[in-house]
Amino acid sequence: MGLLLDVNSTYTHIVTTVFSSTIAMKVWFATAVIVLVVVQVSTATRMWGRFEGVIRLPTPVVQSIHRWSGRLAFLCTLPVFFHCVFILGFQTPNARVAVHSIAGSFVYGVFAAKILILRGKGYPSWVLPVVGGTVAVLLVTLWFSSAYWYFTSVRFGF
Amino acid sequence: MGKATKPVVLFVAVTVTTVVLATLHVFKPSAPRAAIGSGVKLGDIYRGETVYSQNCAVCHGADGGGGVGPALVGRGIPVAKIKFRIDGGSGVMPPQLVSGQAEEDVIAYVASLTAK
Repeated sequence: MGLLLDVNSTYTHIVTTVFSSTIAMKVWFATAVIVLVVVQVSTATRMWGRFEGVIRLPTPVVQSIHRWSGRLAFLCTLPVFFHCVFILGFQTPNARVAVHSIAGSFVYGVFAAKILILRGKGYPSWVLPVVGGTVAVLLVTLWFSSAYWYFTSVRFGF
Repeated sequence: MGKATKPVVLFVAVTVTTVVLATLHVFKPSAPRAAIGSGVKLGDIYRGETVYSQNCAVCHGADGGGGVGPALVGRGIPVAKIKFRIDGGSGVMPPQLVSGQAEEDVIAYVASLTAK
């Protein structure tokens, strides 16, 4: 029990050296993820032959941006995942939190499936955009049910 | 296992693991034992942290370690006393700084700090 309290306390102490609270940390990391999701969707769309007039970069550059923005987005989700899953847990006190908890339960599962599909061959061409789009929709849902609520209902700040 | 089923199996495995971990949430802030039998209604600890950061952190510290106001972490303050202080104020702390649902929520959060 003492170890668990130490982990929680140490985590809170580290986070609050930068942010006003652990929740503030979460909403800003979530917001960074959403910005990167926009990059992900834009570059993915460009790689599938759309937005060529908007994103006038060579395809290898777009692919590189897509990969690295995805990796960065995944890293940004980790501290949020730790706080949500290990400290707060699955909760359903109201509709907002229930939607957040349910969407959050699926996001890593869909993401893992997307990576497997990405590295595999022989899947129908529509599978990857659908699964990738599902990840994006889940992350947007998570952002609206947490960070957007925080910025509009609590405060906009660090 | 078929090629098409692998992503589905992985999706199910990761999702179930996430739900199990979220249900266990092993680093949940400790339950305030002092609340048992006190008659004080405890609210949502999650919202309580937000209320605390907005109203209390400036004096008691963002992590409850103290500042202008006394430290709260590890003090083992009974929840009835926490409510008494919030309702009545103390020193420069005005009475009824928070009330209603916000008070119940922040009592839950402060109780978790003092129980550490």
